[in-house]
Amino acid sequence: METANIIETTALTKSYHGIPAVNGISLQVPEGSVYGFLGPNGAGKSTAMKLLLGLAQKDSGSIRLFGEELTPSSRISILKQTGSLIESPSYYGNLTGYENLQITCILKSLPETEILRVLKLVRMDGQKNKKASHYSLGMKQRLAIANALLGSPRLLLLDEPTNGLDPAGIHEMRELIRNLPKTAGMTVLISSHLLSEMEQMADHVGILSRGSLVFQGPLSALQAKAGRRLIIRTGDDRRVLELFSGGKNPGPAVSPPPSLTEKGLAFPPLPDRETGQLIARLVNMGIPVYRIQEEVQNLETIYLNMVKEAGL
Amino acid sequence: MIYLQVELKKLKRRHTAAAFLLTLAFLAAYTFWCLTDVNPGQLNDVTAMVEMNLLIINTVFSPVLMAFLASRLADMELAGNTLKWLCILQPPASIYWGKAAVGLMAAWLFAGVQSVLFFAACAPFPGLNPGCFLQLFVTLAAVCSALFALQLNLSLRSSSQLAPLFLAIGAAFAGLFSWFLPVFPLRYLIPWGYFSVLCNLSMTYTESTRYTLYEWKNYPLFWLGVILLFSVITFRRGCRRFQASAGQI
Repeated sequence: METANIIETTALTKSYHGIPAVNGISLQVPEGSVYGFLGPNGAGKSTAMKLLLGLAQKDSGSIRLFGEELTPSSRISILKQTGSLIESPSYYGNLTGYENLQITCILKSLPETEILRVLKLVRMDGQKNKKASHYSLGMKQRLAIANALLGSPRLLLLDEPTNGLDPAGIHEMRELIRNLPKTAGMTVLISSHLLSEMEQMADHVGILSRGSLVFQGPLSALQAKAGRRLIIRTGDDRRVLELFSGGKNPGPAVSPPPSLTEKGLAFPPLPDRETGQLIARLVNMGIPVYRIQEEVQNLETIYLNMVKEAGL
Repeated sequence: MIYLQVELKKLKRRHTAAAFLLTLAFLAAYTFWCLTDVNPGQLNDVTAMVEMNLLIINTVFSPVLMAFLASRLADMELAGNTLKWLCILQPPASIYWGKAAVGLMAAWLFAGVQSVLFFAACAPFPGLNPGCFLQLFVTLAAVCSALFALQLNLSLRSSSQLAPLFLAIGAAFAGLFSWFLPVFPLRYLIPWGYFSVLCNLSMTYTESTRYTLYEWKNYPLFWLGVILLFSVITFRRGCRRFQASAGQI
């Protein structure tokens, strides 16, 4: 059964001074997923999130949240089912953490018992009576996340939520976000420029580069793109290359033929038996073999290649 | 009502009430000092004298007080980067009108307390114009509302609140000069001059007898209409600009 999309955009475009910040993106965020929105700085992640929240005016395209078209008249009623943290945390410095959250409670018509629940979730219950201006950056970030979690919204949009948090805080936040779909039935759209962070949290990813969506799909589909290769360092790489290019195949069939890299000769992945035969032939031909290693191309490399191919 | 409640909550610990109370305390002290020093044989209407004094002193204090309130209301949103939070939960226009409602409420309360103070202080000196208490209230409320509208728009557009505050101080002095240049049209052109435009009193001082004659004129309803219209236009323009800057689909 196909999961319904909680966010759907069609050819969403936004330009600033003629330069497209978001260029015709068609996002599809499945309900109940943690969707990682990846991209280098300036790729348009924050702009795209602002467009989804109606905080910036789109130039063209359409946005559907919870199956409803986002329009100026429907915006507030739709967005009441969302929680968000965009760029830096928002807070009233003259109010305590508790009083800051009271504002959202009043505007969302939520009971104040919600405040203690979310403060506990982000481990801020001990700091609730302190003025927000006296909080550290990490505490302000936690307060903003607590604010976004008020009322257990169906959709959570978090723009780089781990900014300013210490390593323990990042770990806690990661765990919290990862479990939100299971524990609270939420869908999370989270942006970051850190792939490693996304790998640990998201089950779906969208990669944005120069305002264009260069990949979108389950994380497993991205992981499937991860290539393997066999790196062999020999005493005479040139001779090995000549052997393969001249059709004098010294061992098992290798397609595509090996190429020379910084690390040594790169071969396509071979089964163990054929690898053994290849090495034996090379040694028999008097070519010394120094090192054999299997290299797995990680997601970071794939991500960087995608971004590079897109022109960044 | 919810939006007004939210705005009032956000003003907690912003010392705005203290600023209003201090100004009112100063005005009360000044009024009672005027009355202790007065010689009823040297003027025809004590109430008129007090009203004129109150309007002159308001020309200096009210613009600064309204600028202070507007800057506190705008600054908390700009400093805390809160508009992107609020604009998801409420329409941008309601944020603006919530602030406008707080300012109007403060302006009318400020005018109301002064009028009650004026009534209490002048009770022993029945004047020639029994409607002057209401007229003072209307003048103060209308001009303070207009000044607040102007200052709110300026404050919401300024990243630093110093510029709107300095403008208010400078403009307060322009308003004060307009009292002493009755034929110069400046007072009709700037909202800070409307404390004098809406003052329906004239004063003639005879140096030889040291006698001051106060005369009541008809209340200038036309100019009241002008300042009210100015407030409405300023608020509406401010709201439109605020909505545009807050960004909408």
